[in-house]
Amino acid sequence: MTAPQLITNATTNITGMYTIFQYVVEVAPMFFILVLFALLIILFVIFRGSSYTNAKPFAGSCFFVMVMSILFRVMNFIDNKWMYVFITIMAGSMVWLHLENSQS
Amino acid sequence: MLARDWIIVLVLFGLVSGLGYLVVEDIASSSRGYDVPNMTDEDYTERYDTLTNSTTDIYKMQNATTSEQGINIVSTFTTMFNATFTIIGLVFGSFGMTAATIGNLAQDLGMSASLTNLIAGSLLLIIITLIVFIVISSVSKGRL
Repeated sequence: MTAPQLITNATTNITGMYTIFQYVVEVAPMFFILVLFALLIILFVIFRGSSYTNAKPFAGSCFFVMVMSILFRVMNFIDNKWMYVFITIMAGSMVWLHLENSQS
Repeated sequence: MLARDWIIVLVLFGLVSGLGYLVVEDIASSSRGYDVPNMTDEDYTERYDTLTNSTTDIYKMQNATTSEQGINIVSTFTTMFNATFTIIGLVFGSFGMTAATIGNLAQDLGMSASLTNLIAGSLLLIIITLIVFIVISSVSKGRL
């Protein structure tokens, strides 16, 4: 019996959960970056709830996503440059938080 | 938004970027972290470190405020305000001592020097910015 054919010419040998994610990265390199951006939006909406402030929930969601991006980089799911993008977004969210607090 | 807020957010941006870089460096380290090679980028500091530029500007503001030219902004009231500006000069002079004290305290508690310099330095820069702008606002008409 022959091994099941993968839908692409991917070379990853799937043996568990981690190698499944490696296979995903091989066939779709931007997948986890999109996951992080989606997570940022979802967490922002959840944290925001019914309040009318935007900076604080954005800073909270950015922090969570920054930690996730560093962990994803450790697991080789995303590039260095995307990790730095999320760190810089986190720093930018701090700027927004301070500006919103200073206006009130 | 006041002018002082803009200077403070530059410092905050540099602080958070620097802290993020320290996290990455710690994780990439072979002795302390997960030993992940090629995770740090040497060019990152040159491109994203706004703290160094902000520090230069803020110390320049501090020197300009305490120097002769800074005191001369009161023009004819120089004599009256001379004592006040002497006190302000003393306050500015105490910043170096404060930074050293915070640094020593943190190192005694076991924190690394890079982390201490980043956090204590940023706090000090924010305090200097606030005091400089309070001084400037007190002798000018508007609140800057």
